[in-house]
Parts: sequence; structure tokens; C-alpha cells
Amino acid sequence: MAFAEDLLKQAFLLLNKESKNPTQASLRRSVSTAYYALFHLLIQEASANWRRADTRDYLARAFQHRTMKKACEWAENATYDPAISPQVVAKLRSVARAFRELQLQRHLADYSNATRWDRIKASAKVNQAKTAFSDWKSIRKEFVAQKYLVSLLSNYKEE
Amino acid sequence: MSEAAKLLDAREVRQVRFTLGPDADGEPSIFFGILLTPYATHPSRFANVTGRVTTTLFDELQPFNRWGLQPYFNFTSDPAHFKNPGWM
Repeated sequence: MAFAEDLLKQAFLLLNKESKNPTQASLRRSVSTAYYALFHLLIQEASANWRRADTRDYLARAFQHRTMKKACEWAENATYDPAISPQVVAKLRSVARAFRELQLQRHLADYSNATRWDRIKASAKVNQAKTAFSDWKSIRKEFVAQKYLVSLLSNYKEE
Repeated sequence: MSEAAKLLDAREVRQVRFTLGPDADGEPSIFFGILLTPYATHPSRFANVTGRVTTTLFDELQPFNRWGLQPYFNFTSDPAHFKNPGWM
């Protein structure tokens, strides 16, 4: 997870790069970096389940942003087995929502000169990524979380 | 919407508004703008407040399951930003 966590740290560094009057460049790069932090966290987690360590990096390249977003849409809005802890479900939804939302914000941050950022708006997104990291770490061994990882690759879902 | 907004803590949230439109993938979406109080933006509580507000609005409104809308949440404490149509 080191790369993903380093990206998250970098997002915070960019967010606070200028103590007053932050530049649009710093805020926009901060939001973009926060998205990629979560993107790499989830891919690394999924790829780590692949038995052959020497091919995990190749598997990681198979993940696609749009497929991951669709899987997150499903995970956010699905009805889960009542036997699953509500806290686990809430955290899984939080991770999925963070990914889906951050993907759009990354798009705006990278491409939209019409979108203006202030520190509060950017900070909310970077903190959303941070919360997703911590939520993920507390549920990552749950079966429902592991199924979610599989869905990120294939948009697999149970109807 | 107004019923859901009433569930938010008035010490933390001044106002909520929304617009409808496509997201970057062209999917129908609802974009919430949330104007926070200075109390809410204190670093010690900011992340918790934004998480709680998002969860409350999402759970109460369920925009995707009810209307097929992808929800997105934007926060500011600057009233001028909040009123700017291009901000969200």
C-alpha cells in the first residue's frame, strides 16, 4: 500500500502548499492525486490476492476507471444481506462513494478550467479519500469487501 | 429535499442547494452544494462533518435508487462561492 499512501500524503501536501491564497494548480493537483491514491489502494488490494507475485503488476493494469466506477455505483446502492454488519456495509458504501465521487472531481480538476476550487472544497475531497482509506482498512478482510474488489475488475454483481 | 436538510445540524450547515445535469460520463446526476458554518470547517471536525452530511443526504434521499441520479457533494464555507452557479 506504500505507493497509495504516499499519494494520499502528497495530496495533503499539495492542499496545504500555500498557507494563504492557495493556487488553483495546487488545489486541482491535490484533488487529482487524492483520486489516484484511492484508485491505487483498491487496485493494489485486489491484485494482492493474485497468487503469483511476479504478475500482480500486470493484473493491476487490467483495471479500468469506468468499470470501477460502475462497480462502485452498484456497491453504493445495493441491498446487502441483513446478516452483514451494518457498520461494514456503511464503510463499504463510503469507500465506493468516495471512489465514484473522486473520479468525477479528478476529471474536473484535470480538465475543467471553468471549475473554481477553494481550499474547503478541495479539502473535503482529499479528506474523503483519507476516510475511505481508513474505512477500507477496517473492512478489508470481510467477505463482502473482497467481493467488491473482484467487482472492480469485472463489474461482477449478484442480482 | 427540505425534509432531508432539516436532519442536518444547524451548527454545521447553513444551506443546501442542488442542480441537475450530466456527470463527466454523461450520466444523469444531482450535484449538491453545501454551505458550511465556520464551526463545521474547524480542522478537528471538518472530515466528520462532511462525511456525516453526505451520508445523511444520501441515505435520506437515495437519489440513485429513487430517481436514477448519481449524487455528488460539494462543500464550501464561502457564501460568494456558494451562490456562484459555476462553483458546483
